[in-house]
Amino acid sequence: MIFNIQRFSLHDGDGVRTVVFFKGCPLRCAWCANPESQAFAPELLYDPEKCLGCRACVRAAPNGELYWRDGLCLRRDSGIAAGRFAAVCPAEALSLAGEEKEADEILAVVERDRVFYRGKGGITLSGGEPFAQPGLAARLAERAKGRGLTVAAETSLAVPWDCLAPSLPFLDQIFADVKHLDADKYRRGTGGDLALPLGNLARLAADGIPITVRVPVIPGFNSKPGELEAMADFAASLGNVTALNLLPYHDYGRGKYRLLGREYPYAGVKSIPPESLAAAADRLRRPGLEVGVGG
Amino acid sequence: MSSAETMSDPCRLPPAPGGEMTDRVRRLRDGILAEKPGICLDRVRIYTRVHQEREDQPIIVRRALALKETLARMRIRLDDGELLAGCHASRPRAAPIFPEYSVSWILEELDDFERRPGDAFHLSGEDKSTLREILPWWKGKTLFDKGLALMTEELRDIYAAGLIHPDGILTCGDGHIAIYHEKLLEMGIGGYLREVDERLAGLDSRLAGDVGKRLFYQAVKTSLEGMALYIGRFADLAGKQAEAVASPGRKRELVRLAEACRRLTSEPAGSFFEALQMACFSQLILQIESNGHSLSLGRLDQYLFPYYRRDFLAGRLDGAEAVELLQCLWLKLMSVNKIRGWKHTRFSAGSPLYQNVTIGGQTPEGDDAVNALSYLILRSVGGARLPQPNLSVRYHKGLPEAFLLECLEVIGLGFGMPAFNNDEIVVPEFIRLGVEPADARDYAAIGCIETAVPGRWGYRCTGMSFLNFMRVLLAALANGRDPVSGKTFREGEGDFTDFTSFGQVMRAWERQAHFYARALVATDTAIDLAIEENVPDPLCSAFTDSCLERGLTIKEGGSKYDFISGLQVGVANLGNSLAAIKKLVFEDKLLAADELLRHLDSNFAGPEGERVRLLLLNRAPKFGNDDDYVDELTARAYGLFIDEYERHVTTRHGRGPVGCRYYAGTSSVSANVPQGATVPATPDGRKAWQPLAEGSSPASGTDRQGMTAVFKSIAKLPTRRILGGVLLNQKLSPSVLRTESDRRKLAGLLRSFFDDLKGWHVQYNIVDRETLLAAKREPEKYRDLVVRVAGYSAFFSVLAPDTQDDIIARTEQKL
Repeated sequence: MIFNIQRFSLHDGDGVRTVVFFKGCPLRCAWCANPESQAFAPELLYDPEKCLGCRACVRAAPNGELYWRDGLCLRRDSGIAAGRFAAVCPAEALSLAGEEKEADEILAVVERDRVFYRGKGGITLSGGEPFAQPGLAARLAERAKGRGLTVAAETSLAVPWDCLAPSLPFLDQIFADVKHLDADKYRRGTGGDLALPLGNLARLAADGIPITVRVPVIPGFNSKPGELEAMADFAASLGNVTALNLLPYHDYGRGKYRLLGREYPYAGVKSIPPESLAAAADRLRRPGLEVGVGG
Repeated sequence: MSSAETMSDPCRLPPAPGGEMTDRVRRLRDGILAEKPGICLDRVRIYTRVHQEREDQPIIVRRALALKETLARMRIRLDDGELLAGCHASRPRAAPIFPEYSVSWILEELDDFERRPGDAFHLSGEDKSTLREILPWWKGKTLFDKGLALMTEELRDIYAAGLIHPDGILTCGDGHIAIYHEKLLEMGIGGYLREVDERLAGLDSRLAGDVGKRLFYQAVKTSLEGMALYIGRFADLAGKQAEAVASPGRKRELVRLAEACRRLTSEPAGSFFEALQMACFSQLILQIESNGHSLSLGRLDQYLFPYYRRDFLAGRLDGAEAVELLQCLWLKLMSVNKIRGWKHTRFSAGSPLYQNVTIGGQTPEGDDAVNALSYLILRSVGGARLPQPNLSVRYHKGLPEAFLLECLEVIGLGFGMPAFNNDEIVVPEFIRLGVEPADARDYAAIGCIETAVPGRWGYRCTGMSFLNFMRVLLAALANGRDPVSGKTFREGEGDFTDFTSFGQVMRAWERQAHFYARALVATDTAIDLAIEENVPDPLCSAFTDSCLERGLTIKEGGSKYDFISGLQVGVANLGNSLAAIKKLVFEDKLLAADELLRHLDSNFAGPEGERVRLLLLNRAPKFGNDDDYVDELTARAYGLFIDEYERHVTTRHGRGPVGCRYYAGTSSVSANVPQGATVPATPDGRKAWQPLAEGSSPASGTDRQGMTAVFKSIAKLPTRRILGGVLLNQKLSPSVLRTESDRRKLAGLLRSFFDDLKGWHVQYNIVDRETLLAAKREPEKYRDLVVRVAGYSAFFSVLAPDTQDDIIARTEQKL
């Protein structure tokens, strides 16, 4: 299941790339900018500001999954056929996140930009967590590789090694999140087990695949100088990591929580302007480790 | 000379694109930017007097005498610090008046020139009175009057209804040409005079045909004499200033200038400085001779290079000096101004002159032509940050990566230049049309994005007759009735509500498109004949092969090649509308035909209207997203128009030039805004009176898949039949070009677009939305903000608010 295919990406690997966003993630980072990427099932996003009140969706919901009472009401827990309702909405007030797509279907879209890849560009698996759907990830990676495209992945690595392994032979490049090095804090911030990404990183180091480490810099979670220093030291210690990118926290995702009918857990936390991380980046430079700000 | 050799020249290039201007250039630039656009009456006074006194003379002789007298008597100046001489009018940024083209709009709008919402012009009460005295004499004698008289009543009605907009040519003449600069530099005025004398001596006055030739040669001679007088006046002026000035440095500059001007009154150019000065003079003088805009400088890096190289190797000139001189030329181009009628001003917002300079491309033999001067021109334009010249780079497969990257760096400065044209399609297509391969490889951009071979191609390689596609489509849906004027110019295929298949819609479109293609040609024919009869240009003709040889002006068939294009506006809206009709009315049956028409009539009024509008907008595919459904429909519908349009010939057919045919074009400048302002609501979900899509670009805000998808969609248009230009304007946020790695990626994208997809053109606006919004709120603070309007750059602050809004609304491609 994927929730988006984004063409013309310049910052997710070498060359021009098409990014495939897998839906579903084992982590629940409170600052997540793509909340629609978390659940493994399709979801309906509803934007009341775009809604015309035409009720085309209500008419398409004989079982009352959607109904009108001083506005549109959604029963989000009913496993509703999100796609059907999004399709009838003229105003794009209802939109669908999450579609089952087979590897070849996805690759047909990726192929449309073949002329722009020029031997460098290709496909980037992203998410959500691409390796939480190990079968689809491996099929996409293998077939893309077979068609002469380069394959990159953006991952939290918060999956068992077995999920990662089938894709590995076909990956040219990995962008791996390192969010924290303290297991407790990691668990509190993401709900995940730090042992998974750390173990995977160690095995990937042995494997030698080129890795760019990405650190989302989140105020109140990992933004203290000491925390950042520790992560830079750790990244530098892995032989196959050549670059570290600081991704400044932003709240662009906030609107999507509203569309999903969810509270934004990081409400009130201010975005960090990329410029203000430049000084921090300078301090994190290590021999053999390039440090940059932004993706 | 191989490109390796040219590049190995030890040129001390100034360091960075957009590097600092010298104090001199900055001061001169500030001076010009501070000038309020005004009106200069010198030309209109002299032209009127000569025309009145010499009514006995044939028109071509009279015009040459008027030009000579103007060049001899117009007020000229040479400001402190100026390295190059030349004036277009008595003050910088003052527009001369060209009464022989049209006067009715001037008399009607005279009091409003200062009050225009955009492109205001200032003039004194006394000047207004003078114009009121002088201009009425011209009534009935102008190109505008004569052109209208040659049109049928039906064509005049179509023009009045706003379906076809030929005001550009009808009120100003052709323009859109570049002369044979190489020849002018090599022959000098003296060389041309000798040639004309020889040809005059060879005429036989007993032959009727030779009488016309004699008049032409006489007019050329008179014009060349005027040119020499004008240049000589600057020699005198500089000489006089040199005597009076105290500073030894300035004295040296003035002496150099005086000597150069003295020489140029008859001799060929002997140095880079003289060659540049001559290009400057001819550029200014030809814009006094005639009023058509888009007079372009052609391949400046090619014809100036031999002079640069010689001076450089002799130690007489270095790169930094060359850049300063080039920037002085750009300032001269900036000083030229043109006033158009308000109706037409909206088609050319920002009072642009579209004086194009082309660099890069290939040599006549097909090798890479980039040389040291190409870099210097690029850097000088980057450093000057002015909307003139309009800089175009000819892309080809062998274009050096370093040069391409530097182009992108200059683009990143954010004033819309340079734009790219693509040799990979222009050259082979020109050859296919019958242009000799060496000539085809010598083409240049003219005006915005259109192309022609400098010095060998007739006027107006872009047609300037705008056809409003969306008005035509609405007529096709209403049995031929134009919804705005209520008139039926061509009966249709019935009413949309009676159509039972989408095929009928296409047939209805085809029928109307063919009719208006013929009406376009008929309009051009009338105006072309009127131009030929009433406003011949002997000087520009003299500098265009093969006019002297044939003894004909360009309009009489003197040029070696002659192809023109019309301008079609609303290409993406056409495709999007057809796709919406096909999908929603005939396939998905979400809308009934009468329901759609009702909501178009009401401009989508009420909640139900809004629902229908959003359905049209969101539930049907849109051009620019690499969606074959709509892209192919767009190409097919446009192709149906072209089928008819390209069957016709121009008024020069059979009189000498190769070609004399029409092809399509979309270099519609800012016409999408005023053309949209005459179009009711359309089936693509566009509300009434809103702008149409610009050029061949996707409709505002409808391209949601990014630049690669836009490129793919554009490439599906029948580009080889749209040789008047496939204009693609892309707006990028500044972040896109910040790092070298970003620029390399963009360079790769461009190479794919040009090499593999055979794209025609692309230009970038690198300005973020916030900046534009701020500039709209506080124009004073952003006086030097230059944006790409469409095919050219203009100061954002002088644009009319609706054009500003349109630029802001164009999709900003985020990465």
